[in-house]
Amino acid sequence: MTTASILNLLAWVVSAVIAAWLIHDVVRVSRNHDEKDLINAAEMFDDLDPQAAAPAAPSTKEDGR
Amino acid sequence: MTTAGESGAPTVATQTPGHHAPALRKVLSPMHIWALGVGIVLVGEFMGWNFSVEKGGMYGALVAAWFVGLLYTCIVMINSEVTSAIPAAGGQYAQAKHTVGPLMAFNVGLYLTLAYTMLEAANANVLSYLLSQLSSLTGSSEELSPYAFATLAIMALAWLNYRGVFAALSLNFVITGFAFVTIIVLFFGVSGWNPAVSLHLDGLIGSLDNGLPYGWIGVIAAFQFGMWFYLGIEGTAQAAEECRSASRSVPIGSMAGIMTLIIAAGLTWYVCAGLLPWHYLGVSITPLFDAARVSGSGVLVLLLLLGTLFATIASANGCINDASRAWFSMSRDRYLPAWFSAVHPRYHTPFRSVVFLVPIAIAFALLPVLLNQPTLLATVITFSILSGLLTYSFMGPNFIRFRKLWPMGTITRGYVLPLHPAPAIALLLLSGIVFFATFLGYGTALLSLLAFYLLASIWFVRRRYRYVKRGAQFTADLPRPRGY
Repeated sequence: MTTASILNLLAWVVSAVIAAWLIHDVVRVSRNHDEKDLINAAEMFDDLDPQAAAPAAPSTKEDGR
Repeated sequence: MTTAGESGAPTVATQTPGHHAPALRKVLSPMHIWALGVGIVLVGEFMGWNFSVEKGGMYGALVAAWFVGLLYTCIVMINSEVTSAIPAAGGQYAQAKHTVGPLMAFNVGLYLTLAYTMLEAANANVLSYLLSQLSSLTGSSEELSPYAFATLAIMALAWLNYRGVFAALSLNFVITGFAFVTIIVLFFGVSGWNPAVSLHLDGLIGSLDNGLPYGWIGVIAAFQFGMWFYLGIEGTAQAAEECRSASRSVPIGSMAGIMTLIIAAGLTWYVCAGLLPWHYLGVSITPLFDAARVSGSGVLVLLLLLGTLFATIASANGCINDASRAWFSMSRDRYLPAWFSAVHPRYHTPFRSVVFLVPIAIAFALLPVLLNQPTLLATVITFSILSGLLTYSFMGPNFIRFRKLWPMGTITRGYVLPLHPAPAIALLLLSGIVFFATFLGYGTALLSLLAFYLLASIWFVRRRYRYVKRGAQFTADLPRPRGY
């Protein structure tokens, strides 16, 4: 095995370890915490009733003022 | 795992009274803002700017550096005032949602995310090329795989950004500072203060035609690559929400940043003009490194190679930070699914946004290699530049509107832009000229990108606009104009 191929393999292994750690941590945090403790927004979830959100619908004037 | 659904039963959940949403941590100082802004940009001094020499000659590149430098000085000054009043992650996106409206804000947010993600991909691609060069310099005949190292660079920097903004930007400060110092060392190493010693500027002094081989149209064509000297400095606004004092840190860090870049641009042009023939300089991949090689000093060669490497890493690192903040900000205002607006309970970073953008950056970084199409890298970079230009063309009119909505004396500003409205109008005019210059070189790419943003806007209006609450997204501590 050449030096270059060892370095290439090492780069792939380290990348895979980091990817696994990131995915594991994202899943772990999502499981251990309620979504409302994670989401940074004034309101928790999307309002799923389009009618209720009607005032925000686009008008012909961009800013509505 | 509880996720925010896009359809199904109407389960509206709002924050309960007394509940404090997790927030990004306020830990940054002017030093970090400087590191973010200059870190993203400085790689342009080490590679990229020199293509302006091919278009317009040595003087064409110099005029482009000044002209585009003026454009970016306007951007930094405008950014400093608006960001000191609206210190929110998302930068120009947050400005747009307060001053114009959701559709403009969505477009600006998308410009920012794409500009930084594509620049990050290009940096990772270039980094793998530099490592191959380093390998060959050490005498090795074996080739390192560009796939492995481009992927590793993105993964490692994403991990760093995931773990915390303070460490990520502290690293940027160190490596960006080192890269900047290598440019100064090169200037002193070739006795730049005394051109007669090792610089060859006689041709440029002798005749104007030597410096302007294609006349003034060449100068206009050079503008698109003159942007490389400063492209990305506007990204300082993205970190405003994480500053201990945004009204102080953003203006100081950004102003110091543009001054650093103007000095670096001047030194870079001067040293390269004196050491490299313009025909070669115009097509060189790593001009400063090549200038060091011409100097014949082994120390300078090593320093400039490290400088180029560090500048590339700093740029990719800053791009991950900025792209994730733009994506996160759009998400928390419901422009995108709320799932992305999560903040890590321990590291206080927008961790899902950081991770989500990783495969996209890797795809753009590896595509030119996988398809064996090196020109695709130029296309990726062009898309990044054009997205940046679209942001700049918004910033001038946006600032005029900002001053109209909140006139002087009505709100507290950490920095006041002098000579208003001259800088805003200048920015609009200069952006128009650079757009024209870019159209000359990349007309098809420009039209393709505009078509993409048009389609994205249609998607937003049809699918996401209904979720946007105008009142809830007005988050700045400013008097609300009528309509909110």
